[in-house]
Amino acid sequence: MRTAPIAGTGATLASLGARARCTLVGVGALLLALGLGAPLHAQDRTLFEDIAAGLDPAAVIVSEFTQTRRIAALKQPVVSSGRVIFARGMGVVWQIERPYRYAYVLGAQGTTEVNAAGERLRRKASDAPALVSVGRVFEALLRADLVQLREHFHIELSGSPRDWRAELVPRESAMAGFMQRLVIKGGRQLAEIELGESNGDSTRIRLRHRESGASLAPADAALFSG
Amino acid sequence: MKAKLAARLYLLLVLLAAGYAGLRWHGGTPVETDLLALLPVTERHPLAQQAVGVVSRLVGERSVFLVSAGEFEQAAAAARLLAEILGEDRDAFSTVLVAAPAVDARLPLRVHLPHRGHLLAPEDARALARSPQATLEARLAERLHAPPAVGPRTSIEEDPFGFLQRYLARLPLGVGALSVREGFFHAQFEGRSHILVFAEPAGSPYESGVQTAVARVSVQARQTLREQFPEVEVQFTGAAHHAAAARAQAEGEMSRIGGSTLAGILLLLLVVFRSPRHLWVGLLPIAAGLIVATAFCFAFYERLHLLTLGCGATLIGVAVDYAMHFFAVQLGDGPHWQSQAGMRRMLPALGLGVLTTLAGYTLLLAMPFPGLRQMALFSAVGIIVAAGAVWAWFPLLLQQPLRATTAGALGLPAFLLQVCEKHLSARRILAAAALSILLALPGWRALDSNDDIRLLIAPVPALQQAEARLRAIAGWGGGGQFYLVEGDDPAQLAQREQALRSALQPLLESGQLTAVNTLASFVPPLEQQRQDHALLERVWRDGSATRALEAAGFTASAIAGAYAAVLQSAPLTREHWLATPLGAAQRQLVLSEQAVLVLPQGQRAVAPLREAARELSGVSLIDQAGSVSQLFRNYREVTAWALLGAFPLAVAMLAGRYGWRAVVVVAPVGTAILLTLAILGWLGEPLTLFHLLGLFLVFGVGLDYSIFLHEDRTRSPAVVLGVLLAALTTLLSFGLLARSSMPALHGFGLTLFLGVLLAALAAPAVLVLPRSEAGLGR
Repeated sequence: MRTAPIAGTGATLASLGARARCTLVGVGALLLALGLGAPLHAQDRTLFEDIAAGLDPAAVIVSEFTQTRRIAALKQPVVSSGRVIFARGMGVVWQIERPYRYAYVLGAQGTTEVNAAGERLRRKASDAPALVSVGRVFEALLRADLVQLREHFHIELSGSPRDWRAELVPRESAMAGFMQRLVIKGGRQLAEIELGESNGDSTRIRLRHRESGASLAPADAALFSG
Repeated sequence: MKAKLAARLYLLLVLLAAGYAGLRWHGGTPVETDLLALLPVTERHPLAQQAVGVVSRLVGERSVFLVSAGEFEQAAAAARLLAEILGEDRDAFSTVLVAAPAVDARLPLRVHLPHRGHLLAPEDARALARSPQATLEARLAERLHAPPAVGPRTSIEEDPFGFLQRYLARLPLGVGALSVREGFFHAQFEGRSHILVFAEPAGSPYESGVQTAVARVSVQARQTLREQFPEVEVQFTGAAHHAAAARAQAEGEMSRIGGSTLAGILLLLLVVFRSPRHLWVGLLPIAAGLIVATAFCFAFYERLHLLTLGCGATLIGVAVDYAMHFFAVQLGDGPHWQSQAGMRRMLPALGLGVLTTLAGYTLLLAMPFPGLRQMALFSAVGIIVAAGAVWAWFPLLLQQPLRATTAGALGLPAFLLQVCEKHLSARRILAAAALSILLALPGWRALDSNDDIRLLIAPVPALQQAEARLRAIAGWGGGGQFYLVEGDDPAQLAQREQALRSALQPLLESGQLTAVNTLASFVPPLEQQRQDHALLERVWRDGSATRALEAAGFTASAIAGAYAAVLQSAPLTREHWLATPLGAAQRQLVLSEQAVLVLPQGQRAVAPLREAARELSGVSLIDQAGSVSQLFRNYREVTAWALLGAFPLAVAMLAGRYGWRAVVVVAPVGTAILLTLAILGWLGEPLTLFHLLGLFLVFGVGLDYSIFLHEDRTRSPAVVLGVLLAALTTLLSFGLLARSSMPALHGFGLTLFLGVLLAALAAPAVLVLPRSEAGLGR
C-alpha cells in the first residue's frame, strides 16, 4: 500500500489539490479580511496620504444617492435614489426610497433585506459567502477608504485632496473579469462611483453628503440589529 | 568432528544470508518511509480501500511552500524566486506551480448558462412555487435597483431575474481564505501576505532519491530567499518532507543506538574478560543475528520499515546476552574449562531462555500490523540465530581457559551472591514484594492510556508549524476522514449524496467544517432540476415573466432571448459537469456509477461527522486514522490479557523441569512488570500498545535471568556475572531506544528499560529456592 502520511500529520492538507483548483476558478468575490496596505507609486504617495487625511473621519456618515444604470437590454436608463448610511465597524445600509422602498443592510454576518412593510429577510453568510466579502469591498468603496481599497485594487490618483479622482484596477482576477472600469471621485466624502461592466452596461452613482455624526440615529441603528 | 561440521554449516548459512541481504541492499536503501505501510490494510470493503487510495492521491504527494511577508509585492517577488530555484532541480520536482493559470473569471458563468432554465437557488424555487408573480417582480426590482455588486455576476440580458446569479452565489466555488491575486495563490492573514507555491515531486515521495533532492532544494531555496529577502519567511510541508525527516530521524537513531550499544558491549567485554579474542568472538552472534534477520525480512518483505531499523538496533544488546552467559561460565570455570562440557551444562538454560524470549516476539508476529510483524520477525530470527551462533561456534572458538587474572571480575558477583545468601529469606522477599506493591498502588491509579495513531510519527516541529499555519490561513486540513456514498443506481446515489450534503449543512454553518467537497454541491439531483425547470417554464408560458420585463422597459428582443434561453435549457448532468473545466477537479471523487466520495474539510473532531451520517443509508464514514486507533486499542487490550495469560503458561512450561518451584521462578518478573506499570503511572506516561508489547518482552527477557540463576544451583558467581552483563547490555540498548523521537519506540524502549532493570533486581529472589547438585557452575 502506497499512501500519504495520515491525518493530523502529513495529510493535514486534505484534498488540497482539489481545493486549489476550485480556487483557481474563483467565482466568489474572493476577498479577504482586510489588512495593511501595499506600497504605492512614489508620486502618488503624497496625494494618497493627503486624500486619506482629508477624508471625513466621522463614525457615521449619511448621504443621499442617485443611481443610474444604463443597460443594453433596457429601453431607458434605470434610476433609483435613496439614502446610504456608513457605520464604521458595522457595515452599510443602502436604503432605496424611489421607485419603491427597500433596504439592504450589508453587515459582517451577512446581508439583511428590509422591505417597505419592515419585513426582514436575512441571508446568512454561509448561504452566499460571496456576499459578505462583496459587502466589505462595497463598504470600503462607499467610504472612499483608500487604505482598504488598495488591498484589492491598484489605485491611480489624480486631482487634489478637495477634488480627487481614483481609477481602480482590481488585483484579483476573479473581479477583473467583470469590470471594465471603476472610477471614484470625491473630496471630503465620496461624490461619485462609475462602474463600467465588460458587457457594456454601466452604473453611475452620485452621492450628496447629508450629515456626519458619532452615532447612528435610533431608527437607523434598528436596521443593523436583528 | 560433528561439532566442526555443524559450525561450518552454520557459517555457510550466515554467509548465504549475508550474500542475499547484500544483493538486496545494493539496489538503493530498501527502507520503507511510508508510515501507512506498517498499518493494516483497511478492513471491510474493497471500495473503501480504493477510496483511501484516491483520497491520498488527492491529498497529495505534492509539496506546499508558504511564502509570507509584510507586503504582497515582497512575498510575490520571493515566491517567484522560490519557484525558479525549485524548478531548476529536476531531481526534486517535476512541476512547480507558482502562478495560477490565467483562468477566465467568466468560466463558471459560461459553464452554467446553457442550464440556466434548470438551476434555481432553493429559496427562489420555494418563492416561485408560492407566489410566482410577486417573486418575479421582487427579483427584477432587485436586479435593477440593488447596489452594484463588486464581484462576478451575470448580465441582466443573460439572466434578467438574477436567478442564475443567485444560484451561482451559493456554489462553494473559490470561497475560502485563498484568492488569486495578480496570478498568485494569495491570502491575507494576521496582517501579513501569504503566497502558496505548489510543487509536484519528480517521483514517488517515498523514494529515497526524491526525498533527498526535495529536502536539499527546499532548504537551499529557503537559505537563498533568506539572504535576498530578509523580511520574508518560508515554510514548507508535504509527504516527501515528512518521509525525508522520518528517514533521517530513524537512520540517525539506528546508528546512535547501534553504535552506542556496540561501544558499550566492547567496553564491558574488554573490562571484564580482558581478552581480545572475546571481543571479536562476542561480536559473532550479533553479526550473525543481524545478517540472517535482515535476510529473512527481505525474503518476506519488499523493504525494511523504520520501526524495524529502530528496534533492530536494540537486537545488538539482546543478541549478545547468550555470549555473555557463555563467557561468564567460562570465566567461572577457571583453569578447569572444557568448552564442550560447559556448553552442555549451559544448553538447558540457553534453550529455555531463547524460548521464553521468543514467546514475547511470537505475540508481536500475531498482530495484524505489518510493521510490527516485520519488527518481531527480525528480532525473533536475530535471537535464534545469535543463540545458535553461541551453540555452534563458541565451544570451538573458546577452547582455552581464560587467564587467571580475569578471575577478579568475579569479585563483585561473588559479593552480591554472598549478600543475597546472607540476607535473603522467603519472608523478607515476600515483605519486600508486599511493600513495593503497596508503593505501586498510586502509580497504577495514575495510569492512563493512549491509542493515537501519531504514536507512529516522530513529530517534526517545523513541518507541524507549517501545517498549522496552512490550516489557519487557508482552512485546509482536517482529520483525514471522508465519506463513501454508495447507491444502486446513479439516481439513488445522487439522492443519498444530497441527503449527506444537507446533513452536513449545520456543521458548515456552525463552523465545524470549512467546506464540503462533493458533486452534490454543484449538480442538483435531476428530479429537482426538472421541477425547477417546470417552475420557470410556467412563468414564461403564462406570460407573467414577459409582462414583468415589459413593464420594466426591456426591449422585445431581450425578452425573446430570455424566453428562448429557458426553453432551450438542458439539465446539468453529472457527466456534463465532470466534463467541464470546472468539474474536472471533482472527477476523482467518482469511483463508479454506484459510488462517490464526499470530502469534508476543516474538521477537528470526528464525532460530529459520524453523527451527521449515522441515520443515512449508503453513507459510510471512512476514518483510517480512527480505525487504526481503534485497532491499537483492541490490541492493547488483547495484549494486556495475553500478558496475564502468559504467567500460568510460563509456569506450566517450566513446571516440567522445576515442578512447583516454577511459580517462584516466574514471580520476580511478575513483580517487575507490576512495578514497571506503577512507574509508568508515576511518570505520567499514558499506556499504549507499545508499552504493553514492551512488557511482553520484559516477561521473556526477565524470565531468562530467573532461569539462569535458578539453573545454577551451585550458586556460582560466574552465572551471576553472566546475568549482570546480559542485563547491562540489554539496559543500554533499550535505554537508548527510550530516547527515540518516535513515540511508539520511546514507549517500547522505556518499558523494556524499566522492566528489565526491575526484573534483574528481582531475579535473585529465586536464590531462596533450595540448592541441588546439578547446575551451571562447577
